[in-house]
Amino acid sequence: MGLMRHGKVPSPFPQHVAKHVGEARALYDIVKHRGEAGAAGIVQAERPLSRIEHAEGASEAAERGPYGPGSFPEPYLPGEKEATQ
Amino acid sequence: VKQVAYYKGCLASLSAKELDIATQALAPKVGLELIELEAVTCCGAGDIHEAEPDYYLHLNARILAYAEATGADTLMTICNVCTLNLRQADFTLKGDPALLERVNANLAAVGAPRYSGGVEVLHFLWLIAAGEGFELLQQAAHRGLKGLRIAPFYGCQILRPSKLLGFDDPDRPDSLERIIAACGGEAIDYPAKIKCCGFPIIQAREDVALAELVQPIEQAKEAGADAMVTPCPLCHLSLDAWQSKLRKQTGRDFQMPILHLSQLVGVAAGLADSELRFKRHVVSVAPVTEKLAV
Repeated sequence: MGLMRHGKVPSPFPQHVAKHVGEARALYDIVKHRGEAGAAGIVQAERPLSRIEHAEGASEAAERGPYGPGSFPEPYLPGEKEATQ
Repeated sequence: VKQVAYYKGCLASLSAKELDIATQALAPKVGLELIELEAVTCCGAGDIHEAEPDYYLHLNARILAYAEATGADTLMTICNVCTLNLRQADFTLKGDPALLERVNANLAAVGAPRYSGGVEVLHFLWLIAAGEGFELLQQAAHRGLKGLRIAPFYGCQILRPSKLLGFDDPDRPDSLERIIAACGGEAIDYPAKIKCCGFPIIQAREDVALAELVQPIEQAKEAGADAMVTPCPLCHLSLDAWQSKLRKQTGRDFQMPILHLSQLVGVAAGLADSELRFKRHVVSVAPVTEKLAV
């Protein structure tokens, strides 16, 4: 038993391994890519943005236009109306 | 006979095999046909839930999906922690169709079945403490506990949060008491029966965990209990295996036998010693078996 504790001999007891355990391991990789820590979280940033919106007042932010007073200056696009300052 | 998908969890697969063996032997006597789930993993306990919440959700969705694939409408658990984790995941998935679709897409990508929300997660305790299960239990427990004084210990995760669990009153549960009485035993009442056993913090704060653990054992002993019974293998591990730690820390040797719920009912139902496996316990169950002359 002493040798076993130090990893010198294999365990006499068979390890319990769930059937199709590879499926659960593959699920971990896929969740990392597609889950909240991956595509569904960092890339699209739905969760962090929802927190920011909640903190700053979601309805007010949604109603306000992206350009103009209180937001970014409207960009100048040749051929369209003159850019606002 | 009611068919249920059976998820035994990690502890009953490993250190608490006696719980699985007793449950499988007892199930037909209380009208349950167990369809054991083999291609499933740990529910993640409290650890994965904290560290990787999204993976926790996927792991539990996969277990629920395999349970649903058996055709049963009930997923039976024998562990408080599994019950809470699975019910929490089920509640979350059923309440958010977009989330369920994302999780199902990921399950399909690894070859697992999809989950459509057709399963209810129920602890074995709940299945035999009410309704038809309770009636069958009363018939099965013909051998009886002969007035044995039993202290029920619920543990926390089968009671709280009650919004997710909801079977017992979290402050005044009585399902274990009903079962003990139906088996011909006398239920001991004591305040710490609904407290935490200390398992989740034993690694981080052993002194705090042991201070939690000593309360139910000490109170049950003082109330004159012959043994304690618990529906949770993690509580069983704490209560049974760590009495030696309590002896070192407090100088008191309680020698309190701790029974799994399936073993207690199994004794009353006349299960054989090979189905009860009391020899796997750390604290001897001999005082109980001698009283009952098993």
